[in-house]
Amino acid sequence: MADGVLLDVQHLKKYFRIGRRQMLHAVDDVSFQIRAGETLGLVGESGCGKTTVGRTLARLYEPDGGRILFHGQDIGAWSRRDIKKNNLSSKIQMIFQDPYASLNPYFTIGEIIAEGLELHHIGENRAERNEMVCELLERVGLHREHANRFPHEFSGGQRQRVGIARALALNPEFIICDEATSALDVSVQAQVLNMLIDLKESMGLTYLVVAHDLSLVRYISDRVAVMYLGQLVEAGSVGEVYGRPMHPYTIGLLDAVPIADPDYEADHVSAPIQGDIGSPVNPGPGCRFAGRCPYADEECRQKTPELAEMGEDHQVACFHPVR
Amino acid sequence: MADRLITVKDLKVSFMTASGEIQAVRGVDFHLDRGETLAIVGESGCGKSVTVQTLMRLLQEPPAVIKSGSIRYTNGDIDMDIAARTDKQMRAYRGKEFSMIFQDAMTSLNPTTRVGRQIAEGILRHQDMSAGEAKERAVELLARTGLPAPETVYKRYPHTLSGGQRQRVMIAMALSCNPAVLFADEPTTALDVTIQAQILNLMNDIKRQRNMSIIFITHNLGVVARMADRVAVMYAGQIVEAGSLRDIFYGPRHPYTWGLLGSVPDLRMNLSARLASIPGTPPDLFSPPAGCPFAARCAHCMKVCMEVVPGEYAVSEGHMARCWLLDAECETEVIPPVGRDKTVFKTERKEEVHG
Ligand SMILES: Nc1ncnc2c1ncn2[C@@H]1O[C@H](COP(=O)(O)OP(=O)(O)OP(=O)(O)O)[C@@H](O)[C@H]1O
Ligand SMILES: Nc1ncnc2c1ncn2[C@@H]1O[C@H](COP(=O)(O)OP(=O)(O)OP(=O)(O)O)[C@@H](O)[C@H]1O
Ligand code: SF4
Ligand code: SF4
Ligand SMILES: [Mg+2]
Ligand SMILES: [Mg+2]
Repeated sequence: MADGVLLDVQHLKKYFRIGRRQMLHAVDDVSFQIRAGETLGLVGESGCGKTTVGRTLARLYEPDGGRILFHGQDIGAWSRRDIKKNNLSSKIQMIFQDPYASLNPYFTIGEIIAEGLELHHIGENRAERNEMVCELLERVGLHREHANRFPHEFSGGQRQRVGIARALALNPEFIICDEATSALDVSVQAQVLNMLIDLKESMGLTYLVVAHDLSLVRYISDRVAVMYLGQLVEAGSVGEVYGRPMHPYTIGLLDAVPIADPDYEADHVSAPIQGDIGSPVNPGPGCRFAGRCPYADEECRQKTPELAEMGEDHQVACFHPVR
Repeated sequence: MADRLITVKDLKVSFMTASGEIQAVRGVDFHLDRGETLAIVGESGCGKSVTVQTLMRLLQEPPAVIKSGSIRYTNGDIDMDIAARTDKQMRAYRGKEFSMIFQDAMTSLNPTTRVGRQIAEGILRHQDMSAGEAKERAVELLARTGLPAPETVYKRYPHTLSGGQRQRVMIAMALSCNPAVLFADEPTTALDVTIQAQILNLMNDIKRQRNMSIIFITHNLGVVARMADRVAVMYAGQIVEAGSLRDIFYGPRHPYTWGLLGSVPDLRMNLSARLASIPGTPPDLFSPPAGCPFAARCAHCMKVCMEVVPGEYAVSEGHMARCWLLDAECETEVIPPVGRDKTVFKTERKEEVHG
C-alpha cells in the first residue's frame, strides 16, 4: 500500500436487482485511492453511480464485489457486528443534500447533536456533552445559544452547518459529502465550502465530495474522478484532469459547463455531447460511452477500456484518448 | 427603436399568511423588449419566481396580493395592464402570448395523459387546426428539442420519461403556440450539464428564429453569461442592480452583485484562490429592514444605509444600481473588488427616495 493512503477502493461493485432477470450495474468495477488529508471529488451525470459509491463506502450498502481497504483493513467484508465493534459509523460520516429532511423536527439542535455522542458513549455525562455540543456549534460558525432551537428556526445554510456539526461530533476521519451544498443559496454555499476547507485543515479530515457541479468540485478538491454509467473514465489531480482532460466524455462535460464570463461565452461555440446517458441495466461489452462518442470504432464497441496511467497522477480509460 | 413588450412599474406583491404579511416583491421596475433575454438572478427567496408568476398572474390570490404597481403589456393590438386583469381574462393570453417553463416539469405535466396529447391539446386551444395537424406539429416540436424517436415519446406518460426528457417535453409544450414571451424559471437547474447545454442551445435557436423574448431565472451565473442580453439582480424583494450583461459582469456597482460574482466557483479561477463568501443570511421578508436590504451583510454599510432605502442611481445608459456608495455626497470611496472597471464612481440620484 502506498504511503498515507487512508482509503483504497479496489474493483468495487454494487448491483441492484430490478425485476427477475434485470441487474442494474450502479457501480461496476471502480478502483481509486484517497490519501489521508486529501479531498477527492467525484463527478459525472445524474444516475452514473456517485451516491451509490458513497453509500457503499459508508457501508450503508452491502458491496457486491471488490475490496474497501480503510487503514488497510477490508471494511467491505465486515459484518454488522464488526462494524459496530470497530465503531466504523463514527469514523466514516456522510453529509447529505437535504439539510432539513435529515434533521428530526421535534428535537432541538443540541439534542440532535448530542444524540450521536450518547449513542457512541462520547463524554462522561450530560453536562460534558452539552459543552461539547456548544463547542461544535461554534466550530461550524453557529452560536451556543442555537443549541436550544429547533431545525425549522434555521435557514438552509444554518441547517447544513448543523448537519456538519453532527457529523463532526463523532470525530470522524473520513467524511462523504453528497451534494452537500446544492440546496443552498449562492452566497451561503460559498460560506459552507470555505468552512469545509478550513475544517479539513484544522482537524486533518479526509473528504469524498460527490457533486455534479464541476466548478465546485474543482474548487474544493485535490484530486478528481469522473464517472460514467457505473465506471471511472478518468481520474487524477485537479490540475491534470481539468487542465488536460483526455477522455472524450470528460472533454464534453467540461465543454458544456457555462462560464460566468460574457466575452468567453460569446466566442465559445459549444457543441454539446448528444443523446442521453444510457441505461445501466444489463450493460453489454464495450466502452459505455461508445453510443455518444465521436471517436468510437469497432474496438470500442467490443472491448472495455481499463484505466491506464497517462502522466503524473492522471489515469484514463479510453482506447483513443485525446491529447 | 426597441419594441417594448413589458413595462413593470413599482410592483409590490405580498402573501397574507396566518402569521402576517410576507412582502415578497417590494417595488420593482423593469422592462422587456422584443427579441431579448432578461436574466433575473439572486438568492433563494428573493422574489424571482413570485415576480414572473405575477406577470402571468399564476399566483393563487389570495394569499397573494398585488399591493401596487402596473404591468403594461403591448404587442400588436394588445395593450393592457396585466396587474388589473382577472385570472379569467388572462387565460386567453396564456400559451399564446406568454408561456412558462418551470424547474420541475413533473408538477406541470398531467400525469394521466400521454405527453403528446397534452401538447396537441394546447395547440388546439389556441390555434385553428385539425387534430391531425396538431399532432403533426407536436411531433415536430418534440423532435426539435432533440428527443430521440419523437413519435414514441408522443405516446408516453410523463412518469416513464427521465428528468431531462420531461424538461424537453415541457419546452416543446411551452413553445407550441409561438408565444411572444417565454418565462423560464430555473429550466435547467435539475439537469446535467450536457443536457443543459443542449436545452440552452435550443432556446437560443428558437429565440433567434422567432424573435421571441425570454425572462430567464437562474442561480447559475454561467448560464446567465450564455443566455442573457440584460441582467436584473434581485435582493430581498427589490432589484438592486440592473444593466446589460457586460455592465453587470464587468462593471458591477452594487456590493451584493460583487458578493454574488465573487462567491460562485468558476472553472477558470486560480486553483489556490478562495471564494469570497458573503457573511450572514438574507433578511426576513416578514419585517424587511427599514434601510438598504443588504445593510446587515454589507462590508461598506454606513449610517444612512440602515435608515433610508437607497434610490436608483444611473451608472450609465441602461445601467442602474441602488446603493448609497453611488451618491455624489457619499464620502466613502470603494473600488469594486470584482469586474474590470476598477474606478470609484459617483453619480447624481436618478430619482428622489420616497419616504
Ligand atoms: N436502491 C436502489 N435500487 C435500485 N436502483 C438504484 C438504487 N439506488 C440507485 N439505483 C440506481 O443506480 C444508478 C446509480 O444511482 P446513484 O444514485 O448512485 O446515481 P448518482 O450518480 O448519485 O446520480 P445523481 O447525480 O442523480 O444523484 C441509477 O441508475 C439509479 O437509478
Ligand atoms: N404561497 C406562498 N405563501 C407564502 N409565502 C410565499 C409563497 N410563495 C412564495 N412565498 C415567499 O415569497 C418570497 C419570494 O419567493 P420566490 O419563490 O419568489 O423566491 P425565489 O427568488 O424564486 O427563490 P428560489 O431561488 O428559491 O426559487 C419567499 O420569501 C417565499 O417564502
Ligand atoms: S474507448 Fe472509444 S468509445 Fe470509449 S471514449 Fe474512448 S474513443 Fe470513445
Ligand atoms: S446602500 Fe449601503 S448597505 Fe446597501 S449596499 Fe450600498 S453601501 Fe451597502
Ligand atoms: Mg446522487
Ligand atoms: Mg424560484
